[in-house]
Amino acid sequence: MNEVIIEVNSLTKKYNKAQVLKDVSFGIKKGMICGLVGPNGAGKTTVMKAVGGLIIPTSGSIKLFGETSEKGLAHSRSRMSFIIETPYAKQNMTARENLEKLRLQKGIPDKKRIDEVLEIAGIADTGRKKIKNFSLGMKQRLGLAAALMSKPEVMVLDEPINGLDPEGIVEIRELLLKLNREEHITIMISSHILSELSLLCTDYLFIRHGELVQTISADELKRVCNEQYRIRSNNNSLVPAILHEKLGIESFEVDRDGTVRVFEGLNDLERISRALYENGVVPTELHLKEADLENYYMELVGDENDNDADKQDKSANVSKRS
Amino acid sequence: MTMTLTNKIKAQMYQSVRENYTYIVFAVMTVIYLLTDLLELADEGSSDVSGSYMFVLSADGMPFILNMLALIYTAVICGGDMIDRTMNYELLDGAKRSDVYFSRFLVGLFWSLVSCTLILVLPIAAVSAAAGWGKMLTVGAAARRTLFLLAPIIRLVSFYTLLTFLITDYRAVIGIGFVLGQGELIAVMLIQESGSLGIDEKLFDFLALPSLTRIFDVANIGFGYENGEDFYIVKQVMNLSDDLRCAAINLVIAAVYVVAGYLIFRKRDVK
Repeated sequence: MNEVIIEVNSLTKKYNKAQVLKDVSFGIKKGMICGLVGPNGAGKTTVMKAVGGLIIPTSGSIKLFGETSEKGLAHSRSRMSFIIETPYAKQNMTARENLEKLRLQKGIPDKKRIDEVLEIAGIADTGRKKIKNFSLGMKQRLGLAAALMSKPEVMVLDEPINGLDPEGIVEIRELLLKLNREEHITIMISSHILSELSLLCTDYLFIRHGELVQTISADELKRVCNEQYRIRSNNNSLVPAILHEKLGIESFEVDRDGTVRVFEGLNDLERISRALYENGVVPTELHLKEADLENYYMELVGDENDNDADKQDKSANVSKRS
Repeated sequence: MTMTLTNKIKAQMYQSVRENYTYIVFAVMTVIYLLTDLLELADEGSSDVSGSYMFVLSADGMPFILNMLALIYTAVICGGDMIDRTMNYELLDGAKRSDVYFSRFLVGLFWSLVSCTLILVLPIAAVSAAAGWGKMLTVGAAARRTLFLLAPIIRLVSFYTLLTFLITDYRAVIGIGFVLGQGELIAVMLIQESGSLGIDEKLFDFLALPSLTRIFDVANIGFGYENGEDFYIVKQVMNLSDDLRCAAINLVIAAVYVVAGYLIFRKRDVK
């Protein structure tokens, strides 16, 4: 399970003067479900396109299944499948015709595979309906069916649940989990629905302004996010000293707005509040925060309207802990 | 799983036979061709309709029709999958860029040649069946002209393949191709009419549509006489070496276009 299947090293992409990817490096191991998280325009799709060979990197390298040569990468990509931006669909053809074209294109001998993937994707009953009459959700399902045609070992999925209804989202999530657990398919996925990613992913890559801000496993994310006390008070500047000197707490951070986040001694709220009172500090806010992926993302990647210095400060804080 | 050029061609053929435009384009061009010929027929006022007469009659309008068929089929086959990004999925599957490129060029060439041959042969065959071949041109001379027309058509397909992989929007390619084709014809017409520039007309073989016009070569029409009967006959003497030279020039230029198109696509980012 430790084989690194997708390895990206110092990947940089420039369009004229605009640098859309800056020195991005990461590795995705076999069996992972790796979520690529970032705001619009962060470079998520560009990373996926570079992995898929659609764009040619300005510098840096991509290794797939240990292969780096052009021929080796092409062969490796035949073991993978992708949904990037628009799902695979010829508008004037039916779902079955689309998959038959794909079958011919990929040289898949078994015609029954079309029925299998139509069934898996939940669009087996679309008959003669042409894709131009499909809903966005049905097109996404066709994209998934197309991605499964060649029984891939890795799936790279860019916003695969866009346009799906809640029921569809649950079905696709369960399908992806099943494929990962039963077929051992490694998945790289991006989505704006972070609550969904948090139900799927084993690892995360956070990307912003073309730079990889952080890589973190889901377990570590839970450890980092869960159970932190947030303390705001009438005298924020005294709080760190009280925590450190009176209570012996080492693991805490101070945000720019003075909020103190405490990561240890979490079972002893009474002791913390007493110490604060005894030292003349009145907490105006003292609560346990169970930060989820969304909160973590907002803290790490930040509100795009924040000033840059603020963002750097926040991301530095979190990175320091990981 | 074997991804080869043959697979790609099979997939492109599968798609193109299911697309409506394949049939609509051919039907529209056939209607334009027939209307043009009927108008010319009415203008000439001849009652001597025959297969050979139809062939000669079509010489004026046919370069436009052949150009449009090659242009639309090539642009849509090469560029249609770029617009809806289904071509991306071939590259994402690890297909060689050469296979992606040449499969489209070859399928575009197939449909262009088939449609051009059908539009050249079918209406004339129908008229011949109804009214006979006639005496205006021998069957051999018409067949030879048809055969040599294929070289400039191949060159047109190659050029439009290059243009489509360069511009990536087939609608723009159709617009540009139309303007360029008509521009060539107008430029040659102006040069010929000025008559004073001293340009050797053999140089027109380097242009695509003027090559088509020259291969038809039915400008010199006179009277023949047989069994006490006068009839129109094409008196233009065909020169095999000129036709071969014209075909060779067109095929060499076609090869340059095809290679140039591939070199552009080989190292290019795909949207």
